[in-house]
Formats: sequence, structure tokens, C-alpha cells
Amino acid sequence: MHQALQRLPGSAASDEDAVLQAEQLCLRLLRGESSTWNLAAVPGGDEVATEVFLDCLRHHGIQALVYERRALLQGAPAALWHGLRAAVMAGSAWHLRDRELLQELCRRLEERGVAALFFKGVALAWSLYGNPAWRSRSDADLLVRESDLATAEEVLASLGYTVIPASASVVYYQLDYQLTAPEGGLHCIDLHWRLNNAEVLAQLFTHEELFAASRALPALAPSARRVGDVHALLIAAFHRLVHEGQSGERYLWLLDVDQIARQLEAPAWQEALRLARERGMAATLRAALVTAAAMLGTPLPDGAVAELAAAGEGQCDRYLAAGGLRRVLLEVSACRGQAERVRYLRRLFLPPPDYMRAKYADARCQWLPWLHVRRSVAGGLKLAGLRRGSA
Amino acid sequence: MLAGKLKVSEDALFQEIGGEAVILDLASSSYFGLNLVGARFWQLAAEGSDLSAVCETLLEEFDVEPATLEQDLRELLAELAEAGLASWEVA
Repeated sequence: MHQALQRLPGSAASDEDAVLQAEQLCLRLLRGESSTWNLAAVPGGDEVATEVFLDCLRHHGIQALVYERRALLQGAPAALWHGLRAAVMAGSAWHLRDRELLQELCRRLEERGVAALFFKGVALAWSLYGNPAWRSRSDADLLVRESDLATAEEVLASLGYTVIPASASVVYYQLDYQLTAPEGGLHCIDLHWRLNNAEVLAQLFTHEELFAASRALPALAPSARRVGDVHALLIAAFHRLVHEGQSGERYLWLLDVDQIARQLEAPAWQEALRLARERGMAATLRAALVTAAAMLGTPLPDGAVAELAAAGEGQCDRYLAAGGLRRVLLEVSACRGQAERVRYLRRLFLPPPDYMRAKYADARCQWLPWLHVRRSVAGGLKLAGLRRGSA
Repeated sequence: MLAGKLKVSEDALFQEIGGEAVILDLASSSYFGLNLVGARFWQLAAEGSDLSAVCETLLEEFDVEPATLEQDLRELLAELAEAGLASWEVA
């Protein structure tokens, strides 16, 4: 009766065990620690373990980083490296085309006199990571002044990018553009005229201070610029919480915090701590730093965590910790002036017809008032915490 | 021993990753993978070094017999030329 009873792959307990082991192994590799493949005991054997580990790498966006560190991992099945190599090579080819497209975009924007700043993944990939292909991403976030928005849109359209109808949120300070390269890769530009779609986060930093502290990004293109290191750290700190509900702690975003923190010098740290306190995001920055230190061994300056803890919670912290109705109320209170408040509420409760039709494209009844009723019911349940999902 | 230089196509974009490499050919919108030796060969040869010097460096860095290396590189050069990624210019 050899192995008369086996736990089958796919059962909840075995999946959880395997994912936990895979995540621990990922963290060891990201910290640069030598490791031995220890997922062989996963029910289903190496085949299942390999899939679990590859899924884990995909989820955390760290395929190329782990492939780069493959010498640290002993005893892993050949199928793992075979699968990972294929993914990493395809990702690297995407990066090559993406660089070409971004270089042309920068050149055209400069020609038209549009000042633009890259932030988040693309900015970090080309400035902090030793190889831009290590830092996976699916889009490039670009910030322009609202006064330059129309010109930037013209430039993107002239390069063949098409705008994606609003689909993920009802309040937008960004337009999502996409272009399919000849070899089939999809390249997206998120064109922002505010830093974030949430009112609370959109107002954290002014364009003036972001542009004043910006840095050149010559590795990408001669005219490319990115947000400064201090702003990059604060953006990375809140970004991981903005998406935490959807994807949990994504190691790539934590690694961004780690990479930025590692190259900040004392004056920049002081500025980061000051800005975090001043803009009501001390708890957010503290959480990012403490988590990065615990999981990735990020070195932190003496007293930084205590200083942030002493500052207490600010508006940004409360917003990121809140959910449902409380987030909406904080958004409304963050609106500057009655007109902005009305505009926010109108878009929240009566979004544009193209948004509604895109969202309910599969609905049998396309009568607009009925679509609003459906959305109101779903949104009400969500705000009341009775249902997950996007309203 | 090989001699001459590698002339890389302007349409060929190179990205090293994990010691290996990917080449994207903008002209054909095709991409190609290079293994460890191929990636190192491309890096050295694309800098403009003479192929004899490139071979010497590769022999120092990899555990390979000179005759085997030369044969492999001749095949690689032929494949690169056929794909339009680079040409071998004999002095």
C-alpha cells in the first residue's frame, strides 16, 4: 500500500503550503542568499512545484531578477529554468522594442515643447536597476502638465498609439494609450496629468515641485526625465498600498522601495522624512520601509522609523488604510473647492456614457439609465462592504 | 583562427540578460536568443575588436577547445549573416 492516500495537487492546503514555500524561496533569492530547491516535497512533485514557483515569479514580477540570480539556487528542476528562460527572453525582447518606442516618444515630445516626467516602473528600470530588463513592467507612466495634455495626446496619436476607454475607475486623471508592435508586443503609456486618480494622492505633490526635483534619464533617452529620488521613494511607498487589496504584497514594488532607499544619501533621507510628515504619509512611508527592511534587508538610517512613527497618521495614511465609503468621504473632503467636489461626485455617480457602455459591454440591455441602476446597486453593495469588485 | 571584424546591423538591438542575450531585429520584427558564449561573443565583437582577439578572450573565459570554438563561431557568424543581424568583414 505504497502511498495509498495522497493529497492531490489543487487542494487548498497543498497550494497554500507550496505558495508559501515558493514566496520564501523568492525572498531568499532577492536578498542574494544561496538556496536549495526545497519545493520538491510539494504534493504533485516537481512538475507542480515548478508551476507554482513560476506562477509566484510572474505574480511578483521578478522573473528576470530571479533568472539573473539563478546561480544562487541549487537543485532546481531543468523545466524551471527552461520555462523561466523563455519568459525572460520574451520579456527582454519586449524591453528592446519598448526602449525604441519611448525614445521616439521623448524626441517628439521635446520637439513639441512638452515637458514630461517618467515615474514608477519605467523611471526606476532605467535609473536604479542594473539592467532595465530586470525590472518588469507592462506600461510606462508619464506625467505632463494639464496645459500640455492635448499636445501630448497629439504626439501619441501621431506615433500610432490609441487610447483605451476608461475602464478601471470612475475618476480619471490619466489616459491609457496602447500600441501593438509589429512582433505582437503590447506597449502602453499611462498619460497622467495628476500623479494618481485618487484625489487624496493626486494632490500630494505639485507639478512644480516634481519638475523642480526631477532628474535626467539619459540611459533611456537624451531628453527623458524622471521624478527625483525622494518623490520616487514616496510614490513607491504609497503605490504598494494602492494596489495591496488586489495583489497583496507584490515583491517587485517592495524591491522598488528597497532599491531607492539603498541609494539615498543623508540629505535626501531628511527631505523624504520631512515630506512624508508634511504631506500626511509618515505611516505609509514607515510601513514601506519597515516591510522592506524585514523582507529584503533594506538598510535604514538610524532613527528614521522612530521619527516617522512619532509623526502619527496623516490624511494620505488614513485614505490608504480606509476602504469603501470612508475612502469616498476622504476623497470628497480632499477636493479643492465646491466645483471640484461636484465634478468628483458627478463622475462617481454619473460616469460618462462611453465608460458605462465599456463597463457593461456584455449586458443584454444597453439602455443607459438601466446600466446606471445596475452600477448603483453594485456600487452600494461594495461601499457597504458586502461585495468585492469594481463599481 | 578567425580574423576580421563583425559589422552589426543598425536594426539589431542587443539586450544582455542573465549572461545570455536577446537580439531584436527592427527590420524583420523578429527576435533571437544568444546563449552564454554567443552573447559574450556579440558583446566583444560589437565593440569593434578583431575576431582573433575575441576568440582569445573567449578561450580564456570558457572551457572550450580552440577548434570547437572556431567551428561554433563560424556557424554563429553564418547564422547572424543569414538573419541580417551582422556581417563578417574579413580584413
